[in-house]
Amino acid sequence: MKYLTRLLIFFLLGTYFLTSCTKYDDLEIGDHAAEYALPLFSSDISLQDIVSNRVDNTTLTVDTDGQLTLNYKGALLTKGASDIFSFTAAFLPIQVTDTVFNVSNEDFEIPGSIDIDFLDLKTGQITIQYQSDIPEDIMVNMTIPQFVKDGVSYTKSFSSTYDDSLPIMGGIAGENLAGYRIIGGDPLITVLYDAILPDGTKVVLPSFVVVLTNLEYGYAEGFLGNDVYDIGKDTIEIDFFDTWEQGIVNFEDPKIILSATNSFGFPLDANFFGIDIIGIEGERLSLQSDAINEGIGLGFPSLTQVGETVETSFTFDKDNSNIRDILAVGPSAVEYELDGEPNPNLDPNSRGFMTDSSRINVQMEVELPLNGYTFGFALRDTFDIDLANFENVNAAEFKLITENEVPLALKLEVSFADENFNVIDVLTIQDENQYIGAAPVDDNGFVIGVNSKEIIESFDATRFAKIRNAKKILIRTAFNTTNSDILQLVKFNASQSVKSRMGLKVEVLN
Amino acid sequence: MSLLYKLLIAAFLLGILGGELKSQSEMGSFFLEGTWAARELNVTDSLVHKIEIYLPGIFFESHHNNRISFADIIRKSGDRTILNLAEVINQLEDNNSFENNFKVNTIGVGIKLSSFDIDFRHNSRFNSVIEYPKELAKLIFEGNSQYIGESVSFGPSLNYYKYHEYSIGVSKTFGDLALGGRIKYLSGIGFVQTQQNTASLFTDEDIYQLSINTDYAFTSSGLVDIDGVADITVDTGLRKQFFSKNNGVAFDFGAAYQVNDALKISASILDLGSIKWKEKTNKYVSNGDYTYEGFEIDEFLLSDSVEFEIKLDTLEEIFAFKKSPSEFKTSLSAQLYLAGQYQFNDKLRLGAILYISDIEVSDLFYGINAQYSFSKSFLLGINYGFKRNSFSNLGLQFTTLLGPVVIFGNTDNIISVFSNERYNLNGRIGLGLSF
Repeated sequence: MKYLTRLLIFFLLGTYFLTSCTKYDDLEIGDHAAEYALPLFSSDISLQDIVSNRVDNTTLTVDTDGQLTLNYKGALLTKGASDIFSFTAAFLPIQVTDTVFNVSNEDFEIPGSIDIDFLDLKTGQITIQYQSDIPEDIMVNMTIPQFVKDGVSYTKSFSSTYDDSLPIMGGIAGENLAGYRIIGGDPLITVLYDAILPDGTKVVLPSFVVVLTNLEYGYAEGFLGNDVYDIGKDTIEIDFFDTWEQGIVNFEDPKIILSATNSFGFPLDANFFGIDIIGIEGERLSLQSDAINEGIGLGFPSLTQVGETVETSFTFDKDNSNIRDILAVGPSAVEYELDGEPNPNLDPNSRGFMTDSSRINVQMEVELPLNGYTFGFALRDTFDIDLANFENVNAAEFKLITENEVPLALKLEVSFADENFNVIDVLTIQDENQYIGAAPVDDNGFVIGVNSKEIIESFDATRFAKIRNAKKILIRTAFNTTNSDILQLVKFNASQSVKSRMGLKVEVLN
Repeated sequence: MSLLYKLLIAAFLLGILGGELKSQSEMGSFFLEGTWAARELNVTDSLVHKIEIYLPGIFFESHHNNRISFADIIRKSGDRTILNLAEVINQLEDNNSFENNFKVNTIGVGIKLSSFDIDFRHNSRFNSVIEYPKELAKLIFEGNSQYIGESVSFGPSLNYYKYHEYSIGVSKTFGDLALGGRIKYLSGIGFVQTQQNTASLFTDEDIYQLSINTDYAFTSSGLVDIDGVADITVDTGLRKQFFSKNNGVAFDFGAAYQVNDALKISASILDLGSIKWKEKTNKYVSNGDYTYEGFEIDEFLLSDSVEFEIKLDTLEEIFAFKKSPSEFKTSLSAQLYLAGQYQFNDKLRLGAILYISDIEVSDLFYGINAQYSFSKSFLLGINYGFKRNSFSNLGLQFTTLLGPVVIFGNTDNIISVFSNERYNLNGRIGLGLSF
């Protein structure tokens, strides 16, 4: 108003000042009332907008029918071949104390339940060192029969000449073993050697050491054990309900989905220690399902599918679990932990494989399709507001028009608060049932119309002066599928929207 | 609320930017023979003394139609001075005009030579004419609620210019005939003129959505510069510099014929000329339809703050003035005075006058005059006439000599000077030295 006054005074009187001796330094605007009408805001918020802006760590999917589904994915839990077994102990020197020397599976820390038929080495080096204290030339022939390449066992011959000094040394360092196959069995490795003097006499050498280094397999086949190993645990945060003040929810068909990819070539069960739903009030409810008790068999590639990955999906739904009941609390998180059990049938005759790149990946997903019978919840948001420019207001009238295409009854409560969130006034925009009615639905829950409402609320000068000092506006939005006790299935659609627009008539005294 | 203020202020800014050139018109001063005011209106008015120094004087004229005056607008209430807007609005007509003329005669000199008279003078001239519909004032001071569901036109227009005038006037008498001419170099100070003034506002019944239609155009030199709603510069101050790049030339011509010892007839044509505006000249055009529906806060429930204030870019969108440099030329409003004077005796002189402007017929005035010389040093006159579409024009003029000092004054509407009925205010006062 001050700008207007200045402008008018300047404009209307500017030239008059030049032609008049009257002084108007103290000019005031005479009392008069003006009433202005102006639109405040209009909004067209689709259900998809509402939902997608309320969640961070999830995916909102919309199918071709507009069906909205919240998807919350957990962490990817993964185990590789090295988690099953590796040749970690193979770096220890093998002290061959006799011409025939065996190295067991245990020496390589291979679990006892594993019965390896063969291993194909991807990398590895062998170092052989021997010494003789006999002052004669000596020939050494060494064989490891389990190490086979092209059908021939690993064999090495050495010849050492006596040169008037003892001991006589011989051997080889770091010879490549890549491409050799280790034929399984027990013992895993047998080292055979013959130390022959010039006269044909065979002797036992005082020192014969074999060192296998960087031994890594590329492929292993056999009965690969049934030792249970941990896959992992995770918590899926569900933020959609973070701003719920209250409410219950009855999803029509919620799901928790296990998705696994497996390239281990043997049977594997995923066993859950438990799947718990954490409610928005902190309550913990356990998912009950036969699949949790019995484990979930994961698919695996056969011996003819080496290198391939087999996908498995298992869904906990309303038909095989109590998921609908426990999600009614309004979930804030889903916690779970599981392990893997190889060869759950314990059939030692079953043969499987694994490669150095074999891996089991498990991921859990919570899928909440937004269809259901009962939704009763409220959201609360806070915005900064500045009405300081609304000066000298004698009366004001807010006019709100709402067109509701969402099958949720809507109740808006607008509060004006100071900077400390102390409520100054409440704009109660509600009808006699306290709700802007939900869009009508048919027997199948599909929206068949729009519910419109026009609400007008007046403020007198005193009341408006109070909210003029407001620094915050608190908007509480309550949704409900129905106002009756009769359950009504409703189906939400991404395109359903709430159109709201507000205008203000304000009378100003000057 | 300030949203609407801003809208309307922006509209009002449109309003102070448009109109047509008008000129000053004086009835009584024409008869102040022997003063530099009379010679200004008719260059053949002979100098009385050999040297006349024109000391500062002013001419002012203010007129609002429908008998609305500043006295209507300004009221005293105890110690308070009140801008009384409501009553003014009630008195407005559907279309209104408000005109102000102001001329400062800064300095000049007249020399009477043996064969002709010559004078040099400098004037500063200012003129503004605002034309506005009643709805504009009602929108601003009463609000737009009264127009919910209606479309209301509010486009005002203004003609506003200021310039310096440097002139040389020469007159010569050939027996009973006197002829004269004046050449005036004009230096424009500032100018605003509306070419198109269509603007309307529709307030929807729904939630009072505002639809504005504009077809508005104006040109400006110096006075107004708009580079967006947030950057509007209005330079209303009189510039200190006396010359600019806005140059022009104008001419006055006069003639007088002494029919016999008692009767003299005269004619004068003033302000035949133009100014070419080159300095800070721009054309501003706003043309389009815009509907403001409030903030489209699709994220109303999702955003962090809500400000119920119009944003500058919204105003920009509504009043998207396209600015383009544009030199232009404006013609002054030529004026014609026709007068006759009859010297009844040594004391009494009667006169009649007709004035026509080339702008509007409504600027025509005519009247009669009577002057009485109480002594050689004091003359008093009255005139009565039709002016400004009204016969309520009773004027008064005087001339007095105090030694070498000449003091004169005139008003064509004495009532407006001595009362609050100042809807048609007019006057001139001047000072000179004669040797």
